[in-house]
Amino acid sequence: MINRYVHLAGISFSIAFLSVAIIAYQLVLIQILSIVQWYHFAYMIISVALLGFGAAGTFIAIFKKPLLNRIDYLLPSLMILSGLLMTIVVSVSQTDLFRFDSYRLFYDYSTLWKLLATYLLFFLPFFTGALAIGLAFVKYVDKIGLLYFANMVGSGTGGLIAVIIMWFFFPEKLPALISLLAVTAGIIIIPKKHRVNFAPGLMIATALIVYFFIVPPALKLSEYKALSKTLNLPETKVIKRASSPYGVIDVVASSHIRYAPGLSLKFPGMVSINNALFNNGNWYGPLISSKEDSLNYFHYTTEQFPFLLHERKDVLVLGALTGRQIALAINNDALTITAVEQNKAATKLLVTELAGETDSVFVRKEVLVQNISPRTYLLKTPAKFDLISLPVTGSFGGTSGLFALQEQYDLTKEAFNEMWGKLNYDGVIVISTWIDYPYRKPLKILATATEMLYDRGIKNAEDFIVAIKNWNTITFAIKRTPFNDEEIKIIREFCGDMNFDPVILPGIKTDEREKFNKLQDKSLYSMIDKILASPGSREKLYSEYPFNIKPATDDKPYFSQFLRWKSIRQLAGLFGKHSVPFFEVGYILLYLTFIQVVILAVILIILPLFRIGWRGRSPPTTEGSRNISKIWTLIYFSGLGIGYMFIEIIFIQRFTLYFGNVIYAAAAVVSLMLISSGFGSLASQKISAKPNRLVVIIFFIIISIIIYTIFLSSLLKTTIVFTLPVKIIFTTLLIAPPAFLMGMPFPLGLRLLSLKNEIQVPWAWGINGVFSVISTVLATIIAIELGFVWVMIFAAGAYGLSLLINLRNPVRY
Amino acid sequence: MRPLINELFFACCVLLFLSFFSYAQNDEYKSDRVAMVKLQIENRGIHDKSTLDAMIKVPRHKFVPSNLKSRAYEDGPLPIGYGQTISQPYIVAYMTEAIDPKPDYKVLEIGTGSGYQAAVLAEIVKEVYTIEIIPELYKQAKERLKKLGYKNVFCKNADGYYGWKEHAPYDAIIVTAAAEYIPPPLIEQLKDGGKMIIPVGSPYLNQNLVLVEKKNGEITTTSLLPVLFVPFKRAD
Repeated sequence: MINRYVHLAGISFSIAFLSVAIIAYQLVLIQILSIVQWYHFAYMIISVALLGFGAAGTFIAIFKKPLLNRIDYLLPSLMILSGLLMTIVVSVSQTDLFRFDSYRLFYDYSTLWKLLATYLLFFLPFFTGALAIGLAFVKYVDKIGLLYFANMVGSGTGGLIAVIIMWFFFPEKLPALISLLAVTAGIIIIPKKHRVNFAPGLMIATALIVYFFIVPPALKLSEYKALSKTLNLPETKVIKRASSPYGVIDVVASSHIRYAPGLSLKFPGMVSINNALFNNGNWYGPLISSKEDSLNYFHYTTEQFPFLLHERKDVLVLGALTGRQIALAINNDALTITAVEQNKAATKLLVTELAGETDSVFVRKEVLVQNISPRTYLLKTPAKFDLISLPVTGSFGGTSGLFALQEQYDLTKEAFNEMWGKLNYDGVIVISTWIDYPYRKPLKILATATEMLYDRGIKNAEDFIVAIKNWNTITFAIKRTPFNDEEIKIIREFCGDMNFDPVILPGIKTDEREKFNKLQDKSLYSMIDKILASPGSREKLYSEYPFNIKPATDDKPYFSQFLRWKSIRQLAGLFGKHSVPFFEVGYILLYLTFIQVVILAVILIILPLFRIGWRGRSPPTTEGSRNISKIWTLIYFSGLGIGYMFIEIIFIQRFTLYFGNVIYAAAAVVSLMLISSGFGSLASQKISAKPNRLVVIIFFIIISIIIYTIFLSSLLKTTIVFTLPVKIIFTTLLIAPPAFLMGMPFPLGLRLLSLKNEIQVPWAWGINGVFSVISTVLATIIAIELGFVWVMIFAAGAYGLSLLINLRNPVRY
Repeated sequence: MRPLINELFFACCVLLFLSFFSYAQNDEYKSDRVAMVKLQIENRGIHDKSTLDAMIKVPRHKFVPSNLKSRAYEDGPLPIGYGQTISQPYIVAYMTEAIDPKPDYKVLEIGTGSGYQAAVLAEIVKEVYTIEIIPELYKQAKERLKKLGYKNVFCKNADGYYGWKEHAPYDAIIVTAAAEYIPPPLIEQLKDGGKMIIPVGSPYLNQNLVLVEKKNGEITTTSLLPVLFVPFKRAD
């Protein structure tokens, strides 16, 4: 008896260890793909992991007997193999055979195969890991509650561990580190009698893992990433690296990097050479020093004009990055500068080792650094400012819409509204963007500012907004009070001196907009006028324009998402079919991932199940009972799959604003949901598996979704000012109750099914798996197209179907 | 004596065959080039004869990586490594026409890349000075242009920011890599009345180009649009 308990404890610990490894590995892979490619592959990794679990379920269903016969060997072997694969696949994915490039995806179709191959490669550690967990569940079915609990708690802990270790190790070292956990999980359950047999294999596995930890694979970035392009320059090298959950910071020293957005053609000097920072291979900012800039180039940029109108004593820099905007404010004699920047790792470098390279702007006595998200700061601070500045929107040269899927909470209508509320009497919000073509970013910024003012009862937005342009940049200033004649005069003079043109200015004449910098397509001006004119003309423009220029909101915070399906044919005709995807690679890739995921999920999960048949080859397991209908299985488990994943994805997105960082949000949400659901499933052991019980539980889940749909957003906004520990407690209180309930219907449904028609159990796993896999991507598609609220509504609807199907006796369908 | 004649005769046959074979190879792409110019360039409104002739003459397939040769005459840019591309044929023609090249012109190109744009210019103007910052691309392009017999193209491996002061002033400057600011030295090295063109956009999307003109020391810019995007019928 004692032996059995010891054995079960070993299995439980082993499953918990493996689960920690699997979830931590998932987050590390997201980080690695964000470095070598771009952030949107996060969705790919989540779906790959779920696919591994789904396919493992199917595999067990088909080969249950032979697998169980060899379980003593298989269980530890699979765990060790999973660990080993975690390390190896990252190295293999960086070889030429597998390495793909998002940019080439639409140009070189062989890249599509590489993407598919990478997908399958990453699938392997998840599949083997899930196979081990699934086999343990099947073997110790009588203790499934305990094992499921170990699985959930382990998974939850994995999220937290990943975030912690990202501070101490570079991502390329982490797969090896994490894989040790999976190997340890295997070692725990090697039966005594087989230890000798396992020894050689274990030694090889350990040696390989240690090797990959000491000599980790070099992460080869896409040649189109800013860091790769910069490192192609001569006399250019990485002089320092730092890792954190915010990403990997590379400090690059070069004799050829210059950064001067909005610079006047009248600038007589040399643009100074700067070293620069890159985060996850993306441009982060220049290390600007005044040593080489005797002429003070800031005075020759479009961003200078708001400082000329009034004394700007108190300046708020939202998104301080490397301190360029701080330097601008210092150059204009600001007395206090509040620099808000959430990337703590970057700020730490800038206030210590790199301080000398940036004139120590972050450590000057007039500068107050706040390492929180800009939205959190805006909601928290009672202070008012003379000027609030945002970083230049988008990257020069375009990112080809690579950030289309990125939630940008600092550029929503609500964010503008909060900024405006923090302005002093003559205060301004300043934001610059590149002039893209077809025109998109300047129009969306203007629409956001105009609608914000309109919502505040200001109908004459044209008196409150000024915009000036040079040949490639446009700077907007949104003022608390109307611009007066004196200010307008100063702006006109400044434009004349610098070869800039006013684009929006009270009393502007048509020819003023094109004195120095002409546009061949003058529709930019007419569209600007339409946005400023009235809500009616604005709405008409939004609906007619082939791009989405409607302001982003907290419900749809995708500022950089512009593409509309209806305009794709027109764009293909004009720019060539090969060029169209580059308008918004991220958006197109999301749909491509969705198609790929659906196909793979069906091939790997559903099709193999036909081997055991839908009705099964054996009669009902319980004597005298009738089979549960297949429609019940299909609807009940697909509803649970969709509902659960929709809620998880939406929680991650909602809490991204709350925590100000997607990795923290993902770790907190995934961990809390899994742990709570684990407890829920443990508690479900005591509930009898009857349809009426399912109805009650699902009813409460739906009620909680409805309550959250209505109140979650405002609840989070009210409590965003809390300190991190309080926020975590509050998040736990918010997530745990519904997640606890959401952990019950799945094991209860399985129990009901195993009593009535055991042969459909694998189908239930499979169906749930397929819909979970698909839902991760589908939730994001719905969020982008319709908004977060609709994802919640669809989640409630999915659970609603699972409820409705239980209102009648399952056998009667 | 007889065997020697035989050997010579055989060698001549081989040479004749090889030259015919290489001619046939070139010719195979010539029809592609003619079609490219007609369909992708002329039909889109480029009518400058010297530009069109140059585009027909320059063997674009010799400027792309060997694995992409078959796609050299497609209507789009192609990757050449190091995060760089060879521009879409239409954009090359558009940029060439935009600077209004004349046979006596001295042109500066910033960003040699594959060397294709330099070769097209070399067919029209007197001298082309081209600067490439990436050493590997510079070496490849220099070798390629030399092999193709372009004697009026002068290559330099340096930072394009500073231009090429020794040969300044230039009648025109073509910047082939997107730039976020216009380097003051380039403005300085542009002749009065000269034109400079700069692309704006990501490597695979040249949505607009900026033409910088210098007249009587005054600088003006015009955002040119190779592809005019007309979203809906407008009143203006």
